[in-house]
Amino acid sequence: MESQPTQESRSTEFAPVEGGTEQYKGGTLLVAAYVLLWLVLMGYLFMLWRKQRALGRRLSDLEAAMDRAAAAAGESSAKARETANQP
Amino acid sequence: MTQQKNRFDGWFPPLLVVTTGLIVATIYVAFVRAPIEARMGIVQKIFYFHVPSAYSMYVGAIACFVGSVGYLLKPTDARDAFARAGAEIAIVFGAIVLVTGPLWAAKAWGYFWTWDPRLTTAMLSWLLYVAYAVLRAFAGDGPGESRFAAALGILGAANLPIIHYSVQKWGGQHPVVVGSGGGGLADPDMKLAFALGMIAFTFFSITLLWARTRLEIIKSRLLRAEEDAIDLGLDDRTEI
Repeated sequence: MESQPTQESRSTEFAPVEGGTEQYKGGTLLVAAYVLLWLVLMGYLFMLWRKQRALGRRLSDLEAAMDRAAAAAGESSAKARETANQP
Repeated sequence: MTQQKNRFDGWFPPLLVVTTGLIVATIYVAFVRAPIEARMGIVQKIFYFHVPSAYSMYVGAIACFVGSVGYLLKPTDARDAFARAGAEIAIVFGAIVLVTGPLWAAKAWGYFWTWDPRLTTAMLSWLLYVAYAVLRAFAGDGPGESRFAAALGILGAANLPIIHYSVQKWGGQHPVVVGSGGGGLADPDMKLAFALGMIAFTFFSITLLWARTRLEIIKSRLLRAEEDAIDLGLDDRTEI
């Protein structure tokens, strides 16, 4: 039988349970489960963000290519007009 | 290039608002209102998001199955995207199930893992969807690869009833609290927390499924636009 702590010892020191059967604290496990739940979900959102960013880069490249092609087409039509206007 | 507008796009913000509200309500009821369980203590509260996560894994797996069957019947980008998104949702929520379950078991059983029928079949199913995702990530996006992935998506769903009925068929240690043979939840607030958790996670999985499918469809459209650009001769002037 464990000796009960006296009022004086309770107010001057904290001691862990000795020889208890509890291996894991329920509160700690609950917090761990809850933290890991949101870490998994946030990790997935981070992965989605990376995929979106990669798509954004590809889209920017495509837009730049189209802009350059449009500019080149504009230059060649201007040259054609100049040639046609020459006497 | 024409702007394609999905007629369901406007529903996404309200869906997000409802999902957020349900998650907040679940957290409040599970952690504030629902009482602490008499025998297991506070760790029992893992149940309020462990079981809904397992259900969300089923939602993802069923989406993968539906998308895969649809793709095999008539191959479209949207069906392939739906299957792919479903597999990812199954992986995400399956990971939550496989992480939170052992944390509960550590307290309830005294050890984190045992080769119980339900635990084993759940892990097998999760590994199947991981295999699906690895295949999609590294095997390319050709029609042959997509068909093979669709077959794997159908095979993955075949494992779902085995997970669900494994406890009834082969026994094991995994508890059955809700449903046939279960003792149920004794307190009305426990029932409310569980019901809210199930609804919230269903909405959550649908929200993620929607966002992921949409991203995959946009990726397919961009790929086609890049191919069209190359066909029009843009590739020799630019680096696409």
